Amino acid sequence: MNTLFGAPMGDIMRAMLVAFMLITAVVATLALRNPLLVKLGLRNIPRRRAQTILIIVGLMLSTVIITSAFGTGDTVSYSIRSSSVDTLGAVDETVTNNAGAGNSFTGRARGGDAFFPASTADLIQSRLGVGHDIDGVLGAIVQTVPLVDLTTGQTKARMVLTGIPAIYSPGFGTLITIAGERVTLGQLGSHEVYFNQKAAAALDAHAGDSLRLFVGGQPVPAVLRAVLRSGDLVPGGGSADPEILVPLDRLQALTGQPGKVTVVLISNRGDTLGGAALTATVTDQIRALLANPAQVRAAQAILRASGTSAELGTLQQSPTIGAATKRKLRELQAQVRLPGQSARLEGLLSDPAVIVALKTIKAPAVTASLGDALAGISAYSVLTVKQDALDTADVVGSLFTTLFIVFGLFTIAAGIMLIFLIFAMLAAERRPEMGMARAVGTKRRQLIEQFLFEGYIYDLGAALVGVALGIVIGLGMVAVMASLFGTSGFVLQRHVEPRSLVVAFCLGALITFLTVVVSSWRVSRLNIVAAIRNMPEEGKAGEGVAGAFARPLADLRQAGQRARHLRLWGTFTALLAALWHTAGALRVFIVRGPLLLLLGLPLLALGLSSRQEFPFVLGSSLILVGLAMLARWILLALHIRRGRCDRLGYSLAGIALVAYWLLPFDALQRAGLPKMASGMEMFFLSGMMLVLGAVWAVMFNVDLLLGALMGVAGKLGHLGPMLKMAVTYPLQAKMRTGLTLAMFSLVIFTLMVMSVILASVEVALDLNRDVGGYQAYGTTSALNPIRDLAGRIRANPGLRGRVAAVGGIGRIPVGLRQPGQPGAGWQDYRANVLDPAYLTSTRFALHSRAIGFTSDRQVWETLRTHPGYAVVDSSLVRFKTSYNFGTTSALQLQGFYYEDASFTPARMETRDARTGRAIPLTVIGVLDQYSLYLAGLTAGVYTGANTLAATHDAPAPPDLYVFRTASGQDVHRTALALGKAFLANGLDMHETRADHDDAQGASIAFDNLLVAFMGLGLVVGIAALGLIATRSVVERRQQIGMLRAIGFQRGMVRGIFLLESSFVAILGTALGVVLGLVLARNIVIDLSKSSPGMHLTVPWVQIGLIVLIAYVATLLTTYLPAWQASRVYPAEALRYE
Amino acid sequence: MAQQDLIIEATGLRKVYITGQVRVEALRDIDFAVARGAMVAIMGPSGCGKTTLLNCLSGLDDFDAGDVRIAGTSLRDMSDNRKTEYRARQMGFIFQVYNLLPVLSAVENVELPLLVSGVKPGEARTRANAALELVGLPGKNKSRPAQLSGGQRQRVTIARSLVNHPAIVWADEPTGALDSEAATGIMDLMCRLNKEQGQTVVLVTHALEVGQRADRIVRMRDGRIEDAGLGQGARGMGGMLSAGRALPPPGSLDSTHAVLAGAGPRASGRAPS
Repeated sequence: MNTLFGAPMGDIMRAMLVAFMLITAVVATLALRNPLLVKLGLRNIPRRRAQTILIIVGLMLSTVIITSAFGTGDTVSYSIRSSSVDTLGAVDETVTNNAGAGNSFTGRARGGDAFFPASTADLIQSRLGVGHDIDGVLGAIVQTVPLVDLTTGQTKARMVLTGIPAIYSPGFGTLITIAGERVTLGQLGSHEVYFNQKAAAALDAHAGDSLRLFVGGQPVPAVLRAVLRSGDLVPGGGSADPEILVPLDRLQALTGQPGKVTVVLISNRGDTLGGAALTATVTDQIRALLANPAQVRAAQAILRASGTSAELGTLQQSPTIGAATKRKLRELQAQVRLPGQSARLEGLLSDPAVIVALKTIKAPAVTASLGDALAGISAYSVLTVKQDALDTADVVGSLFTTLFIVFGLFTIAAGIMLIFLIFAMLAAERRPEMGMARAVGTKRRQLIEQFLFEGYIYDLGAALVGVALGIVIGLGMVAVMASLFGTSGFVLQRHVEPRSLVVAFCLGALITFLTVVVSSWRVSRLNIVAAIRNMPEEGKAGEGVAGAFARPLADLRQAGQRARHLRLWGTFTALLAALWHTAGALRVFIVRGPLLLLLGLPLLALGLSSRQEFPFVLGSSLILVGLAMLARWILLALHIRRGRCDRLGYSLAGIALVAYWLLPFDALQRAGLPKMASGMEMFFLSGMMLVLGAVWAVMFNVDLLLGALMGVAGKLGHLGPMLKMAVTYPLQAKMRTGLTLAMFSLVIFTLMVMSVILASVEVALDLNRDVGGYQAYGTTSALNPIRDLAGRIRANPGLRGRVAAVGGIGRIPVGLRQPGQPGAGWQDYRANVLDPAYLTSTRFALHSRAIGFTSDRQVWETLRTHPGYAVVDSSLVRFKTSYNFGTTSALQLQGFYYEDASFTPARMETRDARTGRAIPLTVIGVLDQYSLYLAGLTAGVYTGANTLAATHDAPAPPDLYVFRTASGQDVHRTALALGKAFLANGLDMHETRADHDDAQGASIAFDNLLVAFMGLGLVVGIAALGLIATRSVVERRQQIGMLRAIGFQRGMVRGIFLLESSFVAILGTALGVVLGLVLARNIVIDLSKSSPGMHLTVPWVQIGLIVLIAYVATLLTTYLPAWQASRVYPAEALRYE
Repeated sequence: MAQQDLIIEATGLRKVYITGQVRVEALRDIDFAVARGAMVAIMGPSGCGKTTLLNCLSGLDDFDAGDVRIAGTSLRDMSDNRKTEYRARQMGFIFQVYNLLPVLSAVENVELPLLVSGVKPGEARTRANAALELVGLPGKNKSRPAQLSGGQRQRVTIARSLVNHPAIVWADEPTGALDSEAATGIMDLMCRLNKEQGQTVVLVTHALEVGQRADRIVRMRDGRIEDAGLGQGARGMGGMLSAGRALPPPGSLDSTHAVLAGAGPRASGRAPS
């Protein structure tokens, strides 16, 4: 994985390392200056080993999450790279003609289907093959064919038949059999073929097996001579296709295309991976070589014209164009001004990225002519297959890492709270010691440093352990993912980049260290007398505004005095101190409200002006809290008791936050505000805000609730005093309890939201809505279509009566754009050209229809009878709300939304990539988004075959057939019978329901993996409760002794601690469940506007299980300290100091 | 001396602490007895075993040999739960460091033993308030320990030790953390309550002026009783013998009849045997 959040990993690693070194240097400098403080700080580490272990466990969570996210991303990235390299072997680029251009790196698309002269390969070889960056060029034919192994009786509907010259450049390596024998294609007899290992495995084939291939529908006998080992020209790896290798001339003869090939394979200098580094250079050279000089001249002339040149300049400022393309555009701008046509100019004008960018030029006078010139520059596509695969690997790996990090943010946030808690506990333990140290002259800064030294060591330990554990968890997740990918042929190979580990270590250590710094600063603020006597901190009267600014004012006075004595350095440091203390003093305006209002208002305005929801809702939340705090300040000023003011202020703030964040999603729009953009970050923000609000409201009011509870429980014998003790301590330690409560509820909240949403999106297959009412489908090669499918089914006794309806779809690559859309360039997509049988039989239920159409049937009938009409899948339509983490289709039709029940017919243009012919279309229907579960079957722009005929475009013979089984017929048997009957056409049959279940099953399983990953956060909450319980036993040892002395039995003491943890766990769980359910309900209601099939489904069993696991784990964690507490001997405890 | 007059009897009491390689004989063959209603002070230098003796006598700690009988019932044979129950109903404790729960108010601290004994919350609160009044702390019921002075805190502890109307009050250095004026006040209070309420009081102290307020002073040294104090003390033999009342067996609620609810201890219904 090379990038994360768009930044290169190398840069991230360097930045992280520098930051980590910096803090290490600062800590080291401080340590050298104060060795005594280091000694004091570090002596605590070995003193309490169990506590040290607990602290390290608490501190390591951020690192664990980050490392496991990286581990997952790296594994996915590495596996795709490795699979691509295995599949492509020595091939770095391919050249196909535009008619057959594919964009995948495997199988059929490796070569496309369209033939062109083999002399193209010779041209490349002769012009670029010697002394350049290319070490191998060969022309080949690649076709998909069905095959029967007559020896084993096994059949395979889709095998890749590749014809390669018997003699080829050594850059492509050699062919070696699995027995280790070096062979050549020249050694093959007239009917002999080689298999790759995948083909041999698929057919259980062995050397000597008799085979029957179907080329162009005609049977061709063959014999398997040997199985070849993967490598170089022989594709291997999980995603490679089963492949048959034959000499090129034989395949040319079989296909009736002598002297022709479908692809030129290029191998760059260097090994299979290193060659990709030369991709940019080689691609440029080939594109320049294959460019049409006349069209280059024409495009140059247009681009040189003053108006277009200015547009070219503007294009370079476009935010939608990537940096690499902008660089090329700059170069192009310089090249077009030069006299003549340089090779570089030819290369640039043949570069697809440059062409796409140029097509967005909006100068009306030149758009059409420039488009034509660009379209004619080259008849060939140079595909950077290896580099593309490596880039894809990087993008997908990065996506996985990002996904897991974003979903892990809750755990990281909870982990940060845990660090605060740990330091608050450490400070509580050492209060008398710290108070004494302060009393004898230790400065606050020195106390902070002491904690920092200790914290730094914990930090290092935690980061190291965290990285190790993160690797283990990451690999665990990979194992789960591997089982999900099990049937797809894609093999996950465990891999973690050392660079990722460095980043995870440094990032984890930095997050933890920063939290340690803030925690240390906070705990150093103690009342010396109260600390020495180890009495609770008296409720501070609250620093007045004047008091808060006394310090900076004193600093300013000091600066003035020093300035009068011309002590410049002294003046400077005093001014710096004044600035620092002023910043610190501003906190009085945070807790009083004005500063929150001051921060909130501009954020609100920013959100409104930029139409971004994040700043808007953050600003509104700050304003709500600010107003509540302001009310509290006013009440304090009116001399109302502090406790009451706090209760009122924080309850108001909390309730306002919860109410605001639980508003239905369209509430703001209903109130007249504009629609604002939002993304996944809103989930995180909503979680934090809801939990903060709820915890405030609860912590400042739970005493009322407990008062009532105690009234009841008091009558229950021993339970009364136990309960009293169990709730009194947590209520007194508000920060401690509040933090734990927040951690617990945050984690449960996220699990609730995810569980409910996932349960709600799980929608069963609806045949009509999702696939047009066909239970089975089969694919075949466009070169080998089945003529008169319905007639042949009727004629076949084995099929007669089994199939009620059939339809044919010709899938062709097209460019799409919408006239009038700003920057409308051609976007690659797929057109599904429907034959009349399909249009007659389809039952596809549309999500929405254009105005004027009263039924779905009318829409399909229109497509059958009128050319130029289309139905599109939902990915081409804009959604009002989007929760998509990835990207949708590049083209989004303007003029209506998916959520609209009906819409004005939308105009769009398609361009047949095979012929370059532009075809105008009118969109009159939109498919339901659930149909995209089977995107391979359903995605695309649907139009009738008559549309192509009307525009004199080349016909698109069906390569996808759909079948509706007759009533009472078994789908599985029918599919098998169809596959058998049309084997010669390579009909590869699938059952719709099975495919749908596979697609949805994998998606659900992956979602569950995400839930489990987020569930790691539970560890934080449970660890916190364990930590608190352990700490409480130590802290209250004497009090336990006293309780035992006055009659609390062992079981009661144990019960107190278990009840105390239960109090926090149950309250946190209840908060998390309620908040999560309400927010999930809002999300589902919002989603259901665009997905009517979706409704709120609460997976009570799963939720019950999560709650039970959380509670049982809490009890288990707390049991040990509770048991220890109950074993405390009263006499011993009372002696304890 | 009739057997039934003794409320506390220890015979051949031994207690050994082993700390790492060090073996400390904290109590060596202690024979000790206290009559009901007496106030006995155990004195001696630091580390002589005073607190250990008090802990073993009160059932807060186990002993290695010998026996302790409280009102004729052997602690040796008692399970931990029974001992705890016994403490809850028959004993009160006062410690040097107060040992109040900082998170509870004064009255909540005082009522805690009552709640543990199963007294209803309303009644417990009334009795706790009465106890606080008895020790001279009216109006401080809702104060937290942190808001009270050392002397006041010790008064709360005394109120807590008496609220359950125990037969025996154990006090470990009850004035150890107080200035002399506060210490005098506390001792006045304890003596008054001992007289008025009739509880047996065993206190450990190293302060002579405190010890001298007791009926009898027992002096210890190196884990042994050096002087059983039978011939001294302001109140003579009172510590050894009393009117011969016996403590009811553990579990009986007769002895815990609410002294503080109005009736005087000597009219508490415990019949002299």
